[in-house]
Amino acid sequence: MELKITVLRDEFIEIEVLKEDPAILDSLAEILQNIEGVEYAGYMIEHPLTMKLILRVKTNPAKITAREALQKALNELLNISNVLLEKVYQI
Amino acid sequence: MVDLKIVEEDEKSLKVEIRDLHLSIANAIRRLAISEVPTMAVEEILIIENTSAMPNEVLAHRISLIPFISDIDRYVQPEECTCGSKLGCDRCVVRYVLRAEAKDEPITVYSRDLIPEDPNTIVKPVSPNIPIIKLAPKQRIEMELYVRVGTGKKHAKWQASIATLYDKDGEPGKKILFIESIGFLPPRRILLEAVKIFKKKIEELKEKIMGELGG
Repeated sequence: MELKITVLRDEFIEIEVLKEDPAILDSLAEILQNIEGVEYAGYMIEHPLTMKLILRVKTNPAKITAREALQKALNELLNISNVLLEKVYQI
Repeated sequence: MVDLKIVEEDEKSLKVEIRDLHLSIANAIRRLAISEVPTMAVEEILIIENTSAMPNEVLAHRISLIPFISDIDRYVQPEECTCGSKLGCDRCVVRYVLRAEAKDEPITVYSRDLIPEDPNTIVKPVSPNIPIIKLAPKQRIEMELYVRVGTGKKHAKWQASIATLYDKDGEPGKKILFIESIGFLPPRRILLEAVKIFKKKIEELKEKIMGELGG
């Protein structure tokens, strides 16, 4: 996975992600969408053959900054995957 | 929080009931079970002799599609191996030889005719009865095979499983993840590996994003 932040403002962040499965960003986008104050979270596949993905997050800065929203979403996603791994070991 | 339950299982397939998990995460697990779980197949073939009717590249392609029971605890992908050797070492390659000759009668060469260099290896074709080639009298093949670890995204011959995700009939909120193994690994192991890979990817994503954002 290669990553580059192309736009960084309080209320908006755009990140280019290379060589990664889109389903990973899809999970992150869904978690972001459920965070209070996030106005838009989504990703696009630039072209199916280039494996280049663009993730965009827009928030209401009065409630939460885009950086905080990303941090929160990543922590939550990591928690979920830890619980999931434990459950898979149990079954 | 997340709840998993096995509703059906046999040696080849697995049905897991999933509750309270984001659809996108369940889908990511499904996709990883198909394209990123490591398995083993023939990656390189050294043809010493081939007087059969089949051209070298066609024969090599046929052999490469044979699934091998995979020992992914012992073997690693060649690009992750520390040996740096093009031929590979005992952690990234399993060597096989295939020698067959038809004397007076035509014969069929099967996957059971592949002979491992190390007779104790557990890495072997999933079935002994896969036909490889037919030889007419006096035709002969002799080759060396290099079995390596790979993933479905590199080539479909390494695809570990077929996986589907769907809603459970009449029970809203419950999903079924169906994993059918090709034979490389048991279905439970495929699920476990897919979840491990998911967690590793999330850790990497978090580290990289927070690193770039500075904090």
